[in-house]
Amino acid sequence: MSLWADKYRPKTLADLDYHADISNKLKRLSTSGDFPHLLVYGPSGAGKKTRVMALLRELYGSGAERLKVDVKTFQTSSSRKLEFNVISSPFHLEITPSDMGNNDRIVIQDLLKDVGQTESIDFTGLLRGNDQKAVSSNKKKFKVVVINEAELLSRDAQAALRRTMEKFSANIRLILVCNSTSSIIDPIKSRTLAIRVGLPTVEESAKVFEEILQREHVANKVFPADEEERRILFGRVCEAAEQNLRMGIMMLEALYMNNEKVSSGTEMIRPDWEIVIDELASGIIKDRSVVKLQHSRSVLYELLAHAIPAKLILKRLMLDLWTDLDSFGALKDKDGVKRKMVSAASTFDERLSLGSKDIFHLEGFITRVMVIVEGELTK
Amino acid sequence: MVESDTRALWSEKYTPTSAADLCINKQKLDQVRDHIMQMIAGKSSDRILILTGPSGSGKSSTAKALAEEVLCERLGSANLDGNSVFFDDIDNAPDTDSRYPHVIEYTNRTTSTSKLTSSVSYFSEFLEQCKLLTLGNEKCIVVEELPNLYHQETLLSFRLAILKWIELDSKVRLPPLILCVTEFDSDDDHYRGSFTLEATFKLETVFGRKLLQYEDRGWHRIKFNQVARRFLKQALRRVVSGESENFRSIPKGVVAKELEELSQTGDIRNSIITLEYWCRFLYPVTGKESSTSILGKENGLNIFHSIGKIIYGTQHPKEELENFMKTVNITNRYNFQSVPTLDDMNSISVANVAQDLASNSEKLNLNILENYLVLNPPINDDLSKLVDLLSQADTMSSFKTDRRALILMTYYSCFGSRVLCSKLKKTSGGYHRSRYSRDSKVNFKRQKIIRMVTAFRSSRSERLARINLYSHLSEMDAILVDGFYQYQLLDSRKARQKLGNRTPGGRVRRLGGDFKNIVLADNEFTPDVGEDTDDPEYLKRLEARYFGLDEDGDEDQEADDYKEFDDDPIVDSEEEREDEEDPFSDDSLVLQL
Repeated sequence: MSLWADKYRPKTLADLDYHADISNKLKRLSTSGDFPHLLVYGPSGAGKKTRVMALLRELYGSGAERLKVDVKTFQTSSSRKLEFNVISSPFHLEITPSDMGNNDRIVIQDLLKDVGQTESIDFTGLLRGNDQKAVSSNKKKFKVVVINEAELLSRDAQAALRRTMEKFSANIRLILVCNSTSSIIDPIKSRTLAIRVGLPTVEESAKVFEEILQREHVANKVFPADEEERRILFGRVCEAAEQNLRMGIMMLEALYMNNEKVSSGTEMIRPDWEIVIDELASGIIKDRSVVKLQHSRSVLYELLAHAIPAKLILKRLMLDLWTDLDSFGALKDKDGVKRKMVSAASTFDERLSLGSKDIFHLEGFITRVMVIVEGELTK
Repeated sequence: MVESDTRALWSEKYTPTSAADLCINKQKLDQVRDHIMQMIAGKSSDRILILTGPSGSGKSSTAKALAEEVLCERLGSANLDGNSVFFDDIDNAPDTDSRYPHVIEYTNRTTSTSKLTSSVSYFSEFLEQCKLLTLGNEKCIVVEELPNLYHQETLLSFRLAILKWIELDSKVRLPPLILCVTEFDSDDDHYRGSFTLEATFKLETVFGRKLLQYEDRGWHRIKFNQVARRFLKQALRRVVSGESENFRSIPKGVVAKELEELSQTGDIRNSIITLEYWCRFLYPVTGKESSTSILGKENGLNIFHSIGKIIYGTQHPKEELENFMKTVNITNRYNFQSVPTLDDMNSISVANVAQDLASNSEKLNLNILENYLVLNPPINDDLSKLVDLLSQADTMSSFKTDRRALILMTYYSCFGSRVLCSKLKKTSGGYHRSRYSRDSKVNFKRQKIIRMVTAFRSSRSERLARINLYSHLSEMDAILVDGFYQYQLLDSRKARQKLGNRTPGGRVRRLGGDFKNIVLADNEFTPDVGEDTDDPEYLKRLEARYFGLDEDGDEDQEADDYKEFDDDPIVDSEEEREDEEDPFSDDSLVLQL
């Protein structure tokens, strides 16, 4: 038994439930002899990695699923030992720069050099046996290197990648997967085919949920039988998960596991950190006091300690404040207050990038918000 | 005997041998004396008395003088013969100072010739021997020199020895043990911000979490402060009168002035050393008072002191000005058109702080942030400006390498904070005790949680790769989504029913623990040892059962595999390395790729 989100992950391009155009594009790519470097981007929970894995399967057949996890050790220049995981199949390997810390350039260069300098010998016939999907051998000259979380690559490493991409283009194809391309340098963007995987719509998510439930017979009985009620429920799940499909499926499973009967009115199980931030936001609008500030600092520190990124905290706070303001009766000039808040949020967002201790900026934002609201009320 | 040795340093020579000569607060002395008496009489459950404080605050002298006094009273001075029974054993190792016949001191053996007495275990052996020093053979043990605790094994052995001493059957009488711990911060950049022994040498870091639990159930702590000016002056006068020979040629007024200067440092040992140097070498040449700006310890500003100055403003404007002028004289950096006056107090005290703590400005700002709310300020623009200012100062942290930029930056944030704090301060209300910034504690926790996340991800990869369901999970997703939901599922009612009643430790919490376990800022210093979270072994087993990893009959083996991995990660990595060294494995690696 696995989590639904893992268990029902589509394995082939044909199984994918939405973004049919992307699937078609990828399919055509995989059957053509040439295959460019790819840059797959989009918000988390949209299905980027699922599509990449399906593409690999399309290229190499089920052999691409024979994965193994290796722990690689790497000696850094300061002779410190670095250990990180490399996931690989006979046809591709997967690396994650965040595992490598500050040494990502050296590690990636080394790894790619290793792969790039050896022409792959075609064992596919042997390995695959009678697999009907045999692809003509000229396409398997290259190995695919998937780089996860490519936005976390240091500038250094990206510059190194750029050269590698050209030098070893005969033997290596890169697939960079990232949430946003804003921190990917232009030369890399120009050398890759960018594919954006957007979030599924509510209907598309609902379709996925439905399909999972059709295969989970026991769970299916827990959910409402009425189609309309189901639609409402799935819509709520999708909304609570902010269209993040992975989170939505997790939520669905959590709903099933925690309730005897799920109806359209059942309370959603949202991630704890979101709830913490929501409460913080409504608190600082209502209670503008020193005590609240003191308390907010504890909460902020707690969130930071759980490695929740400060920028995410700020963003969510701002969005929560925005909605909270609408229901805050005593305030007259709501638009003015919102404008000031957004301005403050963007100021402190930039400071977060420039500075090193997040707490100053987050507390700075909260104080500013309190002062803005207070100032408006006492006007 | 000692008097005749004119070559002894004055600081040694005038070490007080009786309680009357000690220049320590009377109450503190009584406190120490009471405790020693209770320990000797066996009335107290404490077996160790710990004196902590900064260097030169008279801990060791107090310990020895009082122990001697109490024991003399108890035994009567005639009862010295009884010592000879075990004296030989002890005498060849530790020092016995003839001035304190009833006190045994611990000294590190610098060279150890045999393996039997390695320096690691030397302290515990010393304590073993000392256990015999009771009843007719009463002595008091004073440990003022600690073994080399920066050496991990020595530290562990030291802690163990203390623990054994405390935990020994309460029927056994033990001689009183007095431990003097000089507490200090090291200014090493590398360790700054962490609460480890390397960064701050304090009782808390020396003892570690386990021993600290025995406070007042095995040991008692008395804190010493810097020696007050009045007492210090008194002690210095005693030295002057004792050395009248040397001081004869120096005019009384000059000596008085010098004593006034020296009595400010709070470090009695250092003051006497400085006095000696001044009297014997400096004055004959220069004919002037030394002025502490050239001689003697810098008036150490601790960070709390500075925060107080910034948040509340200074209480000693005159000293502040003097200090400032001193810095100016030393560095000659500023050219003043006119000498600053007390009116410029804010800028002067801030300049002093900036000068002293520039290299620490981030820590300083974090501490200001932790403490500015004690002013109980109104929610107005000034408040927002204050935090805004700290936030701006943080964005300048990229100048860390340039000292002058750092001073400017510190000056900027401190001066701004000072001005705003003085505006925000509504009433001249009470002073609160400052709190330590919890930033380093939070960092410590964060690091721990990140390690948990890494472990979570790699165990997930392994699990899913085995059943061909693997797909990469980013660190963020692990924290934001899976870290919550997966444990939520494990903790759900249905999972509990399905897996039977197997929750000894209560509920399963999110990766890294709930958000309720809030880190608070401390008034007191506590060492960085995270609270125990869920038993990781238990979680692993739970996960294995939930995900059905152990369904195909080899349950035990599975568990063993996990255990092996857990117990000895080093072995694993070594195997890995061997693999890499194997010339064939390289080829096979390439083939796999």
